[in-house]
Amino acid sequence: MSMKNEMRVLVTIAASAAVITTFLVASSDGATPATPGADAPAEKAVALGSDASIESLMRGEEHQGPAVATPRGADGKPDFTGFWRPVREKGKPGGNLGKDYPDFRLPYTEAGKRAEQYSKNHTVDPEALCILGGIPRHNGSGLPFEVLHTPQRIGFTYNYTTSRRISIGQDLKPDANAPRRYFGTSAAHWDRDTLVIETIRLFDSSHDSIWLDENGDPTSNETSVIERWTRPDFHHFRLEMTVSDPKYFTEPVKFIRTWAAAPEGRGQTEYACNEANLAIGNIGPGAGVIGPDGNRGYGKPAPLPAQPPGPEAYGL
Amino acid sequence: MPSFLRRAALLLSCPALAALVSACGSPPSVPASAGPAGLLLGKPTTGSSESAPRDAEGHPLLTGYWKLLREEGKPDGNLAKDLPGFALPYSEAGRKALQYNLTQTIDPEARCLISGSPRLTTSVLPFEILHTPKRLAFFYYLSWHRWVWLDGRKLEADPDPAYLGNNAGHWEGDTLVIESNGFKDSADGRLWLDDNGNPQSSSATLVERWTRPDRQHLNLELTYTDPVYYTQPVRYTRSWVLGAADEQLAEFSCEWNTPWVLEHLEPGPGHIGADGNRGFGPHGEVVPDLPLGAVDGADSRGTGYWLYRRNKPKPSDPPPEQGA
Repeated sequence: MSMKNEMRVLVTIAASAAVITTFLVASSDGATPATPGADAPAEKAVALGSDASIESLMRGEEHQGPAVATPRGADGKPDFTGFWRPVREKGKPGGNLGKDYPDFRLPYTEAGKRAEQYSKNHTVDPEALCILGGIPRHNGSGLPFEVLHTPQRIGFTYNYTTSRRISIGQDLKPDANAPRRYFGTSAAHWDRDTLVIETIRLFDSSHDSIWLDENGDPTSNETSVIERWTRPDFHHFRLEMTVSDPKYFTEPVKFIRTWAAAPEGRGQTEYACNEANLAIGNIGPGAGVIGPDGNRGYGKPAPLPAQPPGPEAYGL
Repeated sequence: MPSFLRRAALLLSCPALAALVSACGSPPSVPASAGPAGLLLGKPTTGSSESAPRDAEGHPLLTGYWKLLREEGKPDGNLAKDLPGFALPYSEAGRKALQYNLTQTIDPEARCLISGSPRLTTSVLPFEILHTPKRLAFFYYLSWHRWVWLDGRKLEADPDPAYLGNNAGHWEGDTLVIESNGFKDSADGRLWLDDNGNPQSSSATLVERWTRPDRQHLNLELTYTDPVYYTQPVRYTRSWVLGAADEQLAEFSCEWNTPWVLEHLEPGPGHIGADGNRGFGPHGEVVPDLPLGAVDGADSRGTGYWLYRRNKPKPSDPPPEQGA
């Protein structure tokens, strides 16, 4: 690949990240466009990458009008199938599992502080390499996801044409001897109308290409994750998540988030992450600057130069 | 070479794969029903059949983990499987596009690009389907998934091109008919029609007719129409059998798409045997080694160039022994 092409790919990656983060950060305007109801005509699916599409892709819009009842599956349980976009919280960062903590700072152990230094200073963002983002990172992401839910099996599909699939059964437990993975090993069961997903056997940031969240926080091979998912009405999908990692954190990390249903007829589209994976040697370690707002800093809006800089600006 | 690639290359050398890679030792003596073949391939069912599960509207549900019922004497990864001589009806442009793929294009799947449709349907590897009333997805072994709308929509006339195309399904009795268009084009160097490097054009359309005649079986009749690279539609049929209750698609991270891969892999699929197979091994193995292209010994982290076995050198192959 020519340097010119590598540059183009690199700039594309950076630009995409910047746009995405801009929308994550610029969440405080409170302006919420009217949302079509569930019976609205199907919209044309819009691919990520189109500038005009990104805001609507990222923005979970609140439903206007009376609440619509939770749909239920053949087993009588809530049906989570849908295309879910994150509802932003004013003043809270996206992609940061410490969003509800003072100064957005996670409760690190001493080993955790060392692991944080390592992951932020010496590891390249795994997602920038198109490696599976894993759990709990995807739950902290600002990107939407789509769920396919059948009584015995639920699939979460993520924006980079990646997914995890989990079996549902009252007696299921995650396999304590399973190989380690980015999404770990999971089992789900119902607690009344709450689907509880337990995950263990995850990789470790100090050895493997996995981060806890977008900000480069670490996760260890002792991490276990309990997700409690509910769909209180048609338009909302809610998570209460507990991440327990006695190696890197002094206490279990709690994380609560809500997603809003996208208008009916919209769904995920193909995203070929690996197409833009040819400049990985040029991607530096860490998440970049984390601002005082708890957000990864690469999305800070700054005026573009009148003339685009040449390759020398990138130190190549 | 980055250190993690050096490490992985070393770990992929003879000692780690001695039991799997023929170049490292004796041919495997396990029967075809054991080992990777037993895990990856379906076996014909015996006994009485159960009826297919159905949704509230009475349509068969295709949800399940599906393993190929391989046809003896027929190649995998070859859309010409059912044609005389396993020969596709190339147009003149198709012959040129094939030559381009054979000589200029590194196997897109080896780069961990999305393998595309219908290529993934010709694979020997299992897949999983989750089927809900308005949305269905095929989940493939290398972690890609293909979305299908079942909400009554028609295909757009000119959708954005995609590896997996744009897919909409409808019911004709108990048959789910999935129509696809808007594919990328092999001329871009990133999409093959099948494992054998045949070309696929952006003008192609695909019609798949899926049936689940009983609980255990999933059948496909496929018609691929591509007026740019082929002179007539290509028809292809296949059957899969439901995996056991404790079998499911595992995580796989295809994560070795790097400049190093581009520099070290040669273009084309390698030699295609008279049996129409690109080949998984020198001893007639019909499935690849497991774990698939493993990196660092982890079964879920892999290279995309798992198809490169004996008919084509892998970058991670050990150097040939002196005097061999």
